Amino acid sequence: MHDVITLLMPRFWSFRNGNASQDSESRTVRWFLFGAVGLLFWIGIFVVFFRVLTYFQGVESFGDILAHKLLSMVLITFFALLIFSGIITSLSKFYLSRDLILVHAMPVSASRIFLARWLESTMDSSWW
Amino acid sequence: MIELKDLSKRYGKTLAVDRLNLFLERGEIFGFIGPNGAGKTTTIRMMGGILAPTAGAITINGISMTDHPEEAKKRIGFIPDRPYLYEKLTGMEFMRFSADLYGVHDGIFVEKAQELLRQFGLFEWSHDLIEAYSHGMKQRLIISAALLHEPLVLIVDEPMVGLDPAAIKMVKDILKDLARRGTTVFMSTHTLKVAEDLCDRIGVIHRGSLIALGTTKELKKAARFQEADLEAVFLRLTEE
Repeated sequence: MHDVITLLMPRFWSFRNGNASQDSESRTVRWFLFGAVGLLFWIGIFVVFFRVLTYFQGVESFGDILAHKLLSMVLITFFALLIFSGIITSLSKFYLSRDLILVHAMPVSASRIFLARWLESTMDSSWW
Repeated sequence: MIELKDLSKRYGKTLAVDRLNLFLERGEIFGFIGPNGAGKTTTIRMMGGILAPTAGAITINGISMTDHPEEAKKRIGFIPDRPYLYEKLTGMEFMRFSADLYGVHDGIFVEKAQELLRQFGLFEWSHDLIEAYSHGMKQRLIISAALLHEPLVLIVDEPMVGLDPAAIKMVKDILKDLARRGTTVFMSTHTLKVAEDLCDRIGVIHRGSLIALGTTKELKKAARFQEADLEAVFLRLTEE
């Protein structure tokens, strides 16, 4: 496990150094901007879904079924997007990374390199 | 120290390396020269454990690269032709990353890393991000990192590319010093002057096959070019 953590360390160090290399003002502006956009998006989604689902609830006899079908479709769509994103990220992490020659020349087994890449891919494709 | 036995590599229908046989002694500096596409980098990548050979065996200090790749790689310092460095890391962090994977103990890491960074003229920039380094500095950093675990074998692909004359002299002196202390150096190069100055023996590879092997003097004799320099010998040996 030590090797897997070591293989992930450049990512953490790069993130930390990337933040440290920016001045605190531009860092604050960036976080605020991204935070505000994220919050607005989240509120928008919530309002739209709330209105649609409330409307469905008002439809007599099959309102619940409509809501159930809509949420199933949304879930399936998001799941498909997640799988697609996972495939793209994994292919680039496993086969196209520029540091592959470097890490394969190190005394680390291929299975540990795979595990480290898989952890990175999972993180990147799901919420990063 | 390094033994290649009937080493071959095939990419589909292309035979990149064809039954290569070599034995390198401890403390030897071996130059591997050949035209573009001759199979130098493929050979070097197989020796570094990055590519698996189609056939044949690689033994590093008696350890088979196929059977015990991790053990064999621990004895190698590998310097690729186009090294990748994590741009957002500092030089010292990159050294730490390398040390952790090669199992260099914490107790000796700082001292050893500082010594190498001083030797390669990078100590002042060791806490700066690598993205701010010049190409030559990056090349020197990758060489420093490859020497951190005191390898028995150094495999270098085009070590002098992008280095200024002072850095070339520095690297040449360091390679000579390492060889004197028992490290075997396997070096691929296009700079024939470097090969002539530095190498105990030179191997010429062409279309995947080793077509000549020996000291500069022996190669001149083989090419029937006693008075010529290595460049003329190389052109004669590899001409169609």
